[in-house]
Amino acid sequence: MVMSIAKQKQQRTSLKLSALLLTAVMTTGMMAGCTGKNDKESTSSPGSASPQQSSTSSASASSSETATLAEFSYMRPVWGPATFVAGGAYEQALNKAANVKMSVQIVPVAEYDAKLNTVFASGDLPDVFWASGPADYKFVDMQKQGAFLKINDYLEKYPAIKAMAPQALWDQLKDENGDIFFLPNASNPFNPMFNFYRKDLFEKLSIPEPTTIAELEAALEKIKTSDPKIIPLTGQDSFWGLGALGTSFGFAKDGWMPSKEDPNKLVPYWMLDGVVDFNMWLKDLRHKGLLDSEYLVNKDWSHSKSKFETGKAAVLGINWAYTPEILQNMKKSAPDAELGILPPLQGPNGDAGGAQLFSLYDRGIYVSSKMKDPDGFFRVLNWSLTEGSDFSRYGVEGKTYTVVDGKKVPLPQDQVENDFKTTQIEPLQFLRPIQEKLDWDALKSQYEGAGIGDMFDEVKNKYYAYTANYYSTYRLPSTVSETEQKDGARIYTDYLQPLIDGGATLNDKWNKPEWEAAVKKWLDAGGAKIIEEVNANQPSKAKPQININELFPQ
Amino acid sequence: MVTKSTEQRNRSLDNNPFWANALIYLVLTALSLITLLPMVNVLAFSFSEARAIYDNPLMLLPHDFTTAAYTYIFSTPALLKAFGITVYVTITGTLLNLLFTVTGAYGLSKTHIPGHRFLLWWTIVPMLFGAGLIPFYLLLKELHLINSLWAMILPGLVAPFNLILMRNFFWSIPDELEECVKIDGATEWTALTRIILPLSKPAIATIALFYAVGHWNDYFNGLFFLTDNGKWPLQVLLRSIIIDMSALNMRGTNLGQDVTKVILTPENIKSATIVFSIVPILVVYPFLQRYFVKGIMMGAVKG
Repeated sequence: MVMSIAKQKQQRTSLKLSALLLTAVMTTGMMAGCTGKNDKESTSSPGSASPQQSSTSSASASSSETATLAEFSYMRPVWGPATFVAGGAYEQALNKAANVKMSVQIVPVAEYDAKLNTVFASGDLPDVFWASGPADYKFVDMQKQGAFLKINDYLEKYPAIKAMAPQALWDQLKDENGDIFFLPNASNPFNPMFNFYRKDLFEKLSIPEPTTIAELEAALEKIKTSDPKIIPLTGQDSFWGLGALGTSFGFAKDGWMPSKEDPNKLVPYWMLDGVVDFNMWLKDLRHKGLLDSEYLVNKDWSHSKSKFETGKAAVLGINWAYTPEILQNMKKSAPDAELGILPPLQGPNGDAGGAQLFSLYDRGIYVSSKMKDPDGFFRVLNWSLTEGSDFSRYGVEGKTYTVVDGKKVPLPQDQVENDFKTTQIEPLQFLRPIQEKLDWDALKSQYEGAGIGDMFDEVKNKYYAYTANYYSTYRLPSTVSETEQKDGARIYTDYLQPLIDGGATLNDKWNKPEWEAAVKKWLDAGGAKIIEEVNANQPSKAKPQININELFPQ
Repeated sequence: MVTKSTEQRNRSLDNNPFWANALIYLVLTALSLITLLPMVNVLAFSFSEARAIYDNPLMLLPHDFTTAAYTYIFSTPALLKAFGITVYVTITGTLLNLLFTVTGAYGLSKTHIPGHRFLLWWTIVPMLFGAGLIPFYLLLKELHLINSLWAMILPGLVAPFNLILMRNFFWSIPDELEECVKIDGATEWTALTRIILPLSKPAIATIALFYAVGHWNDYFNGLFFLTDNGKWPLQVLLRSIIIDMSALNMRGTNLGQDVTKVILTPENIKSATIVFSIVPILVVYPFLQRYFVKGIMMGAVKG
């Protein structure tokens, strides 16, 4: 009994201590939850114009128009870690320079679309927000309902905004009345996949550099014979990996192109002979042991790159932007190794290889039709493309970049103060001109800085060799098919997905007749109607004309 | 009692033939290893150089030891604040969850109260049929909870499953115990706090753990209902670090960035993030385990 009372006392004491501890932790938690905000607010609340800011803003305004403070809410995805802290030093500098007060809402890019849908449904549209644009019918529908601001007049008023994208892109974005509602984030459509090869290995085996698909296959066979342990050909998939080889069969993956029977009729790429031939060729390579057995199987996208870098694979298809990384890692594994880049290969039917054309834009911005002062946003955007262009592109001297030999050189992230790191700048950025999306001078500095400057000219030459012949979809992003909206995804999943998403390469069941039978089922299930509607809604069947040399001169 | 049953178990093991015991130990060891090795692997990854992970994907000890991944995580200014928010939401949320679940379950366990059956169904229906994200968002908007930390606490204040678990536990306690104290003049509140709750510690610990883990891992409510990213909980930040580093590498077309200088691969950051996010729960778990196991066993027999 005595023991029991003592135990009860002990338990009570223990309970009291626990309660005290919990209270302490709660208080600490609350303080931690609030202190950061208060600290920031004490220096400058997010976006608020302090007396100093206001006076400076007014003083620095170059016209009566820019002297007016632009205020708006802004929602955008972030690709980097979502660790933005509002009211930081960079934001204060931006507010002062652009005379703007923004309420920024960021969302990690992976969750952005889901969040945007929810916000749409609630009717709480931010003034300015990122979206995927008119290629998604949902936005076309909202545009028709008057949710977004028509921007034609603003494009005329602010030529710098219009100049940030090529005319071909603005034309794509016009609705049937010629109105534009979307500010595209213009992107470089030329991102070729390169076919890299181990030059030293080819020379050792006396294999000349292949120029055709047939020569490549012969080279792969010779490599396989010489050393069965080496994987002759590897890549991530048929787009990001072996996409350049696909172009040698004359098609643009995921695109619509003219039918063989009727050049004035556009059909989806899975109806083209070249696609079937390409898939059957890959299947044949796999059977012969010439293609990586993990192709399309290993979900870690970098497996093919690692194999090539460590000398386990002889030929690799991958995005050209990885050249410096591949070369450096390859030299770490084998200092004597040499990197070669195959030229675009001629295909079995005489098609010249090249690059697949990407979209001219990657997402973009809509302005809400309910925004109180839309001109305020356009003023700030215009500022970021004109007098504030250097600030928007490079940041603050000494904080985000230094000047070396008259050139602005970005500081490495580990030398940048927290308030000026990329994670604090990205949420406050808008759109940049397409001309900045490929900077050869910056790339050259990067190659030289990495000690691989002697490879730069070869990469640049091959870049233009691949992009000289591009394969693109002929279908405009704004071309809509009602049947596709309704049933497109379902009938694709039912009849085509099993063979197109790798099945035809990995599964022996899918041969050419089976492929054609699957396409026929798709046509019968509504595919034919989709084709009919797309062709009816898009009078022009011309290939998009984009001149690489005009966009990015050599 | 517990000691006795352990002794009985030991004796029954002693009675087994050698091969049977060997088999039992073998299976249990294998199961333990299957559970533990992936965690050890993740821990080793988090302290390894990125390059070494490629070369040794099945390591149990760090290769080329580095704390760079943790430095990367802790160098983000928003992280400590997010940690504080998560701790606050977890503790406040769990305490309120317990308060409302326990009192609600106690009421529902009184079958003599008129309408108790209706109220029980009233709680079960939302467990079976959810309204969906958008109506949920609209409701929170009408309640002015958007962009408030309460949006992470109030909507799930009483989880129907936990309520039923608790209600069944209360139900299994003999009414005579309450009747005794009531005869001595105790009120319902006294009966609940002085008799029922002390007897229900295992069940309370069980649902407390469920609630606490739920709050700790909650990233969805924070992301969707908090518009100010300064209020986001830890999991949203950690997830964005993992996901978006992968996205950066997947694109590989961001020519403005020097991809050659990205020395941390998603794998070691991902591993460090996993370790960082599970450690607090791992620390709490042993203290609750005693009640947790007991609670589950009691529920199994009496529920």
